[in-house]
Amino acid sequence: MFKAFGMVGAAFAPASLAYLFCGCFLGIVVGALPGLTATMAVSLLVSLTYSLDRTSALAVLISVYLGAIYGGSRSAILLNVPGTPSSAATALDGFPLAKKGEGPLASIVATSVSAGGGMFGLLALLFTTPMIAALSLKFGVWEYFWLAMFGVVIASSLTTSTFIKGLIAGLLGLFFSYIGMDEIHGFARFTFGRTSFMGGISLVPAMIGLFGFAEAIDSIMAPESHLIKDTGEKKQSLWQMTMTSFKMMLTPPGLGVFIRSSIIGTIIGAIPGVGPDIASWTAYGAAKRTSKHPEKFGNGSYEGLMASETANNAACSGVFIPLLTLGIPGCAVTAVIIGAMRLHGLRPGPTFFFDSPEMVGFIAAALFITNVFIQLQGVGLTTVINKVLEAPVGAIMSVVIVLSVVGSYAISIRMFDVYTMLAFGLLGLGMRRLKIPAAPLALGMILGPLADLNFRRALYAGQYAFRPFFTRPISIVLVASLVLMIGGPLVKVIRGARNGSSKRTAA
Amino acid sequence: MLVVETSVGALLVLVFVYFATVSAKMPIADKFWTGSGAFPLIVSALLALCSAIWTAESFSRLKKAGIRREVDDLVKPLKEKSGISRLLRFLAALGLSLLYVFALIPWLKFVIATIIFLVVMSMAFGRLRPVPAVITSVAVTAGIYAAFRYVLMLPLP
Repeated sequence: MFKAFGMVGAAFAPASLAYLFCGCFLGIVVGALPGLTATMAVSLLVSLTYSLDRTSALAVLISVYLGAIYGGSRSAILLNVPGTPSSAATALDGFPLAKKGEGPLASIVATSVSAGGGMFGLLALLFTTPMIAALSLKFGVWEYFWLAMFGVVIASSLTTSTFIKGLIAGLLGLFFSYIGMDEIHGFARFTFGRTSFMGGISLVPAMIGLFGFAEAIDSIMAPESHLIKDTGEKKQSLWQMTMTSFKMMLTPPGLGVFIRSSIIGTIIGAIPGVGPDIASWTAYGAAKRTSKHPEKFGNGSYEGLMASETANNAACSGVFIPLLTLGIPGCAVTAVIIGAMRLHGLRPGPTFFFDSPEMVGFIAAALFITNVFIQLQGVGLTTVINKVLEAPVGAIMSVVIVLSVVGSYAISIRMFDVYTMLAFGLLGLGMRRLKIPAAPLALGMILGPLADLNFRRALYAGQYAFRPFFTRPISIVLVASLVLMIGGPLVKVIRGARNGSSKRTAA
Repeated sequence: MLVVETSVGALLVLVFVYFATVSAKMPIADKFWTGSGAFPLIVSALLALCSAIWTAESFSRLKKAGIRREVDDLVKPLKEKSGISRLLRFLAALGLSLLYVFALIPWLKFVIATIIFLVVMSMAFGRLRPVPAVITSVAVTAGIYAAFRYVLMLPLP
């Protein structure tokens, strides 16, 4: 066991600290910019880190990843433009808080719980890895299918008071994810003969359009939507806000939210192929259901903000559990990190803890230091970012439009992605008019392939039988949760329709 | 808005019934449920069903509220000065963005196109004066160019 801590000191060496600091800062900036994502940042840096030694390379990649996931919350809170998919839930309560004049405090609360959630995930990584790895191994193709459907339904049910609209958005996201080549049979679905659709619709340009471009146009049309209320209250200093955020995190009801969200984030992060996106929504849903004030969610609830941000950063540490123990990526970014580790002669997998225990210690230390830097840089950048965002909304949103174009183009270096971004931007504008939430659509696009492929793999594995979908233990739990989530709102709709028709009959 | 919701819902029903039939006709390798069209069929059918429920709900509320009144409420903002102003801002912002992507960038390349776009947008919507607008736009464009070309090493459109 002590061999695992051999390289912990290496993480505290000046060179490593410098790489971690710069990587964290770069990650925060990338995550905060609507056109860029954590996956993009890490993917780009892999080739740049080739010339570095293995510890420096890992330090850069880990710090950029964690920084970017956290950074997505800044634009989510201050602009209502989630910088990363996992911050979509953060925007629900972060932006209303910013409009109430509590943007700086909300940002610092997000910072503290992100750092705290990351630390929790790290502790889980150190002490419970075998248990969580064993649990994640119990997830078969049936469970992955239900998990994907669970993610879509939970996002649909949380983002709007009209469940049917949320469900339509989620299903629409699933549908869009099927455009392109079928991964199992190679058949071109819904391409209508156009080669540009063969590669499918890229998630990132679609998200940039839905959230970035649509918000930019909407804000320019109605700049009063970004007006920040001047409460007339004395502004707190950074130190006071930091202490307030710690108090929120460590006393009820925030303490309950923090612990629950950290556990949810870590476990979901440990499930291969899932990642921080679904973790933040699941934690948000759990917080809303257990809150004494669920009506505040979506209107500026610190509990909602804390749940989302804690879970997505706890998941960032959780994804290292299957990565290190099983050699399986927890999400797209860790798939890239596995590639980088192999480039540097490391072999993550079942024997990693025995072959390279010192690297386990280094990775744990790097996660710890990065979370500390997130806290320090996040608080330090608050004043700077808030100053920048005091510029007229029209000017800021013009830059968001430029970044949306540039960010969409940078994914695959093709204008088709820019056109996709514009199309989804128009779709996003239409959805806003109809009060259909965009977040379930984004999550549907992320989870669509997971649902489709695992549905069919499950049928192959079960000799075309549907029964295992409903009889496996974890599947039963997921199906029961789905039925409860859909059943409640459906009953409400039916009762509402019955009351409406009986009133008409009485009249 | 109930008029629009009812119409959009009805349109979605038709669209997804169409896509469901397209999905049902996709080639089958061994069994239908493991084929390419299986899950798209399920999703299209669910979408058609949900859209039908939404249409029915919206229509029921529309009937209760009164169709004529709803149409009047829909058109009312366009008769007010603030409503017209918002519509013009929306069309201008959207139009300029489309012009930027489809005309300015292909003809003038990224740097010049972006400077022009940002100058016009900052003056029109950011309430900046010409000189500060030009300085800010040049600085922002230079920053984006430097970040993408020299730090991230990504090509620009």
